[in-house]
Amino acid sequence: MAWSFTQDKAVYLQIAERITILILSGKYAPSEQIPSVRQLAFEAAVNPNTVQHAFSELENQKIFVSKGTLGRFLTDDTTVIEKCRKSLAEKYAAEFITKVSALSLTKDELISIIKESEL
Amino acid sequence: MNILEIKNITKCYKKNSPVLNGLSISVPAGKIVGLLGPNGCGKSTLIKLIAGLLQADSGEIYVDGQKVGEKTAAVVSYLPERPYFNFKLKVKDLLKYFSEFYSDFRIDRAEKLLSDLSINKNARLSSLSKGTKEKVQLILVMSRDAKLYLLDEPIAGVDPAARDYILGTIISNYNPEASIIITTHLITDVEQVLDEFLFMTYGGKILMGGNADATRTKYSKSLDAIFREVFKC
Amino acid sequence: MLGKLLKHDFKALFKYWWIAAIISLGLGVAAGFSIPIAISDNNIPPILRASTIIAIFVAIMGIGVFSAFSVVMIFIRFYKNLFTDEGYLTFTLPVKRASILNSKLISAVLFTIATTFIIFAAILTALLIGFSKDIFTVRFLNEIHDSVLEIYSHTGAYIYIYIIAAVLLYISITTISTLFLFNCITFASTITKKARVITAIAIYYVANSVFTSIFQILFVFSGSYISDKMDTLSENMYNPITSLILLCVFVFTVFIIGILYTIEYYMLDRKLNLL
Repeated sequence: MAWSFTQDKAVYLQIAERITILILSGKYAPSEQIPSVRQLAFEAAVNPNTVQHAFSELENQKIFVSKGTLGRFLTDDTTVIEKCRKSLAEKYAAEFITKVSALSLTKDELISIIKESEL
Repeated sequence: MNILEIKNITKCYKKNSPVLNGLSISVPAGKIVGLLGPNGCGKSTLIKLIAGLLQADSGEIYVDGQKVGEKTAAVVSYLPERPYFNFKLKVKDLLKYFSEFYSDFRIDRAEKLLSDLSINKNARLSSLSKGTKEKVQLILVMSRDAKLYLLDEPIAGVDPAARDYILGTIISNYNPEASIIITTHLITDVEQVLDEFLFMTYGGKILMGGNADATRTKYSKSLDAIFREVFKC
Repeated sequence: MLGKLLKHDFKALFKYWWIAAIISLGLGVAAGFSIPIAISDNNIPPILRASTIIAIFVAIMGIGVFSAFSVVMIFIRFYKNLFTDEGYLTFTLPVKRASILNSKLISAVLFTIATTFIIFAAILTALLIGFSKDIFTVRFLNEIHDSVLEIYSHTGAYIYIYIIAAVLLYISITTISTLFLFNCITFASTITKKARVITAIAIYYVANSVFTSIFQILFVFSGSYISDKMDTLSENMYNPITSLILLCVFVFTVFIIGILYTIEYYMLDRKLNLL
């Protein structure tokens, strides 16, 4: 099934984020070779050049490492990945907080809801 | 060198009623370009001119540096709107026909794609459903190692699952040395597959064009939404 | 590439031809066996005689249908391969436009010649079987022998020229009629989109009648003019002059072929209107 995209951000950035999430969820192990541009393009049903652009962006963020002719690999540097994990978590938390502020709940009530949840 | 150079093309069907009026376009290699516009604006005419089916009244078209003719037909793979084969033939006869005339036809690729879809090589084309016929035609066209693919409304009149299949085939066939031009009015289905796009209106006028992703980001809208605004009736 | 196009055109034209050819020859044989009974002076039951006459009639009709069938096959192949959706494939093949036209023309002319050959063979078979009692008598063979000698005495070595001229003229006239058919189909396809077949048939019928009448009139007048002039010549000029006339006629047919071919090529190259 094709990946779906929102219109507020460039598609290549959304693809980069989607891949980052897949990495953070453990789908790709460090030093594992990333699937090819073509494979991902096919899976996501997007233009291969867009995927290529996303990959370049991930290389800029040092999440991907290019080993020349061997291909592209996930970085060995766990600090980069952890930094990514933290910043994405902060971003989602901020989104959560924005949404939940409209509900007029206290911080303690929120924390107990989270504690009781599936997390 | 650009894969496709269109220089100042004019084409009239009736006197003083030009379908294309002084159109110029360049397409470099490795791009998937969407030619988007309302029905009857001249998209199909332009495609047929590039394919060599029609002659322009004035202007020139160059494919990979050659003027459109017998030599460019060998590097251009054209998928018309309607099925163009003799329905009495069997699928395998069609495969043989393509291998005979096109030196860039990869029969192994075609056979694999056909078997992926469980299409029987011995089946007569007339016995296949409309959607299957379209898929067969697409498989044949995309199994050539052409420099320029011209797909005229490849997903119109086809069910959504078949559309996914067709777009998937286009993506997996991508070759950085070739380019694909897709004409369609079903923009939502196709826009994620495009590198570049052109909005065309009557007379072959280009209203807007550029990189698909950049344009989407700039206006925070899908190409489909932008199209609706630009072409508001 | 021309070879490949020819291969496919031949395959398409001859696909069902073989069956029709065998049937026609079969009809010739059937007619042959029916003739002696039909014309016999003996006491033959009326029903048998009537059915042999009908059989001969059916054979003649059948062979006539076979001849018409070949024109129809050529029409269908030309029209279908070039002016229906199939044309999108044909005209985007990496071949010269001239090759497409040449392949259609060559295959159609050879197809017509093959059909004519079968028709003659069928008629000849019928006559040979039907009149075998008369034909294979010594007297009949002697008559043929004497006629041939008589002709040869008039023509001498020129007979070879006449035979070659006859063959060449037959081929060029067949080519003209095929090209003419192509012209009608192509022209109809450039001026209409919906009623192409009907228009093509209509144009062919009308133009064919007009041109045939014109040529018949020309033929009769020039024929009588030439034979008047010939009467004034000395005898040893007959053959050279006749050969010269045949040569002029042949050159004229080649000229017509050139014109029709150019018209056809021009239409296919510039006036194609496939939408």
